[in-house]
Amino acid sequence: MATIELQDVRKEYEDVVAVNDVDLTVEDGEFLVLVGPSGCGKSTTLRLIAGLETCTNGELSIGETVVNDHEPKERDIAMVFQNYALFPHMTARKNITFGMQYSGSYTDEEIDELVSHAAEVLDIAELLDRKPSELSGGEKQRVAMGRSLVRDPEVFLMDEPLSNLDAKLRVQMRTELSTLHEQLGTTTVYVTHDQIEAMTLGTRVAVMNKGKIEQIDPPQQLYDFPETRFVAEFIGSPAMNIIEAHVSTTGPTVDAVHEACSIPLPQQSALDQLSDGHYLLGVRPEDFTVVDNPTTSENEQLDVHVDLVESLGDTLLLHTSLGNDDLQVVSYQPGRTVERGDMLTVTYDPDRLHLFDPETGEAVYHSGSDRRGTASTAARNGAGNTEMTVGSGQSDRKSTETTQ
Amino acid sequence: MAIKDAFDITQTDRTDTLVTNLDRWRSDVLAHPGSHIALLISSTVLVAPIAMALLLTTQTTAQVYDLNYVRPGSLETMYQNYYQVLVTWGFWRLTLNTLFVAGASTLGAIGLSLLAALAIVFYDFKLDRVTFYFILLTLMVPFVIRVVPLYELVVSVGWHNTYWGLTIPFLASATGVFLLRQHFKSIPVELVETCRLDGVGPIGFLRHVLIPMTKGMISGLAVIMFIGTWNAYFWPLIVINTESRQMIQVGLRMLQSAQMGTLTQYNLMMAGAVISLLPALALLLALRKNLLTTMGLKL
Amino acid sequence: MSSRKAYDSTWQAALLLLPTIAIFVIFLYWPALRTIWLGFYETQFFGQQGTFVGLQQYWEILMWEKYQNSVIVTLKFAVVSVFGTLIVSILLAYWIYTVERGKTAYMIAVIWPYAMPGAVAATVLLILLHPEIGMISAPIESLTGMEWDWRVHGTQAFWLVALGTIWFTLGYDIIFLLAAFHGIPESLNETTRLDGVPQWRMLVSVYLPLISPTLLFLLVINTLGGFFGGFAMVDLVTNGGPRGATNLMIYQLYESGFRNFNIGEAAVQSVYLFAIAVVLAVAQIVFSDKRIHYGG
Repeated sequence: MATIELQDVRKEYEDVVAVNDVDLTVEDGEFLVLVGPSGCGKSTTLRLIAGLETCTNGELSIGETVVNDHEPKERDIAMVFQNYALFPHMTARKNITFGMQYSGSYTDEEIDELVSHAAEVLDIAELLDRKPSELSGGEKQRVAMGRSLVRDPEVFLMDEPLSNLDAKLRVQMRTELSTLHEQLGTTTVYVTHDQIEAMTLGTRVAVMNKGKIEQIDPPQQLYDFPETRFVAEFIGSPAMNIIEAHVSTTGPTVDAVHEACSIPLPQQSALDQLSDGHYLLGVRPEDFTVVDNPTTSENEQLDVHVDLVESLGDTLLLHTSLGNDDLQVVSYQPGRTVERGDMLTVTYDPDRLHLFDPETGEAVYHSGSDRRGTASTAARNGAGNTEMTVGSGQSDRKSTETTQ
Repeated sequence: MAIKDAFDITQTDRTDTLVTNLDRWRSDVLAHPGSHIALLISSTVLVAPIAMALLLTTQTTAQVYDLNYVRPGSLETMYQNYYQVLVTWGFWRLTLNTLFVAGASTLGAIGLSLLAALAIVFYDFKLDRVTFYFILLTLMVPFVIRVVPLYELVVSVGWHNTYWGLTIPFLASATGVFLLRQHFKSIPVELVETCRLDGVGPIGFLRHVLIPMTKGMISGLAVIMFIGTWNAYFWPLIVINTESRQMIQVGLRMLQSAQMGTLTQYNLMMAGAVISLLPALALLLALRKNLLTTMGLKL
Repeated sequence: MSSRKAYDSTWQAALLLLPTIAIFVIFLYWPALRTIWLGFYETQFFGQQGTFVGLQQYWEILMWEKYQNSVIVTLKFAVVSVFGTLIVSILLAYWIYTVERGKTAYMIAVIWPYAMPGAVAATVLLILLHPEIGMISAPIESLTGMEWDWRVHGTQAFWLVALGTIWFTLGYDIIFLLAAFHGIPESLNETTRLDGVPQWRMLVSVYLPLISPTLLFLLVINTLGGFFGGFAMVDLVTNGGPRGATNLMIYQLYESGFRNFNIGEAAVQSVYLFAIAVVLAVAQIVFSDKRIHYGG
């Protein structure tokens, strides 16, 4: 096991900067997920660590060793690819052992022992004599995992390993990966574009955009306190609503004023540093609640116009407009009768408001930032969270809220 | 019906009985009577000369000259004819020569094409496109434009009348590089990367991954190349001038002087033709699937 | 990024390419260029240092009557063998395409000549179509009363060489045409079939336009082949005769260069032969460019 350290790592292709001066430390035993849209440089970062690409600049070390000039095989890593990369003409067993036999540093007995151990862990013992064409997608991925496992590497690198699987299998393999990592404790870097995978698997998640890392944090932290507008919109589905607002500090309270409403911002230390001006106000669709019996006195209320209703089964996704801005609202009462053209009153969670600088996109204020780093999310979600081991995505949150 | 099934030589499901098979034949013949009749006639026309050639190899020279004698001669005569061609006329030697030359140039050409395609597809170097077009353009330079200086060259390096002269100038194959490149490009790059992660170098990758994965196309190419060399006539005719070293096709020219009294021994010429045809034909029939797939027919 | 390449050692790549490139440079490109140069020299026998005569030799050969005849014979031969091969191949491939039973058997029965050496085709036809004892020609002769002797009649010799060449070049074309026919989308097929179009019309107005890229490819390849093929037939059967009726340019080249060992003269003929073939091939490509349907 080992830590991985990237210092000012840069990768340029002819005229494109794929990885732009990235600093990143993956702790020993950590499961770090690199997530981002396609072309953000996450795969290239992984391939740089693997040694399949060479850094244009910067320093990359695994363990205590600087490995910039090391061949992939000298880095003691194992990699799993999205398309499994199994040799079609070899049986599963041969696929697993090919690299070991080639290296010549294992005896046949050792190889047999390692293979049967890996086969047991991955439950593929009875598949070993089949060729890839006789295996299902999930089985192929297990064999590919087996190939990495037998090498007992310092680091696992995984490049979208679940993306070619169907949805159901993906969920199953996801939990298995988690369990496997708990058993082995090997440092793992995992690339995906799927935020659910990122949230459920990662000890920490690094969100990448345009060759840079926007934020590295534990999953819940990313969701609760996005440091940039990009992270705010990328993490969470449906994406966070971002509307333009004018912040005025002149009154008794600091308010975010929108053409159709005015939202008082709860007092936080960050608020003191805010000056008057235009900001971007972010509120997640799931942080709205539809009010059944609106009272006129309540001022944490917004009146929205329903443009489109999408029923997702367990929830309703309401596409609404607030003034000239679009606003998405999730309602956890799927039985509610809402129709296009209705006017609705919604309220929001005052602890979950975010302000972003319109120029830099950086977060300047989180209304709930006093809770940062505490376990308050657990209280919010209730105790019924058994499915996932690390953090908690919005999916289970929905389920807890529907039961309320 | 999928094309895949249409070309399956067995054409029978396990459940198919002979009767339903016959039924299908009948209904297909009824649906396309013209095509079936035309194909039967054409096949016969194309195959008949070879059948007649075989027939003549069972006859004595006198029987060949007898216009009223159109039935098979005897097995004894047939044996005599082939024996004479193979032993007296040295065709066993020519067959071995040609097998050796065709085999060696096929192996060599496939080997060099594999190396070249490996470089073009899997190496990142600046001139990869230029190199590829340089190789492809050779298809536009036919043999005839270079035969005279080539002969001069072969003579001047002392390869005249040797198998070096027959093989070395033809060891590079644009067709081979082209087809292998097409195939290699369809191989996911992750397979190479897996090899790199395991420390398997380019030659190991070629040997343990590329070649096993390209077996079908390699054998198809081998058929094309082998037949090409086996059938060569012009070049061996001018390069080789020792009879015992000659290639089998040119041997047919030597057989034209087989005389018995005033009669030309056409039966022996026919036996020679049959011997010259057989290896190439056998290879084509044995590896037809690979050959056809390599040439673009999806089976 | 789309074409990720695994290895980046330029010298290794160069090493892998070296044999192929070296052979092409030494044994292909260099001799091809030298041919043009050799045409400027007049030589009497092999190995002799020729005298520089510039374009004179090119002009002399152009004016040589025997060569003019050879060019005309070759052009006729190319037209007959190219179109003959193509038309017969189209028909055979199409018939195979239309039937559903026996495809494989028919296919083997018509493509096997791909494996047939020209020398074998020549030998077999020489005997079966022999003027006196030909197993095929003799009965026809006695039935029709026609006088069959290609040793005397130029036209007969010409057709014998042409038919023989078509016979052993068919297989190659048929394989490519079958691939093209079976590449036609099934849906398109069914649409026209539903409309009740007769088969021959389907072939002419639907299938041939659809496979026109393959047709052009074969036309060009056959043209190049047509100018260089037929050598074994001529050398083994007619020796260019009677009276030059089958004296193909390639055979004349052989005679000049490798019987009379006149290198300069042979080189000039190489250049002419190459020039005609390439001009025709390019003309076909240019001419058909507008008519070819390359699909999607």
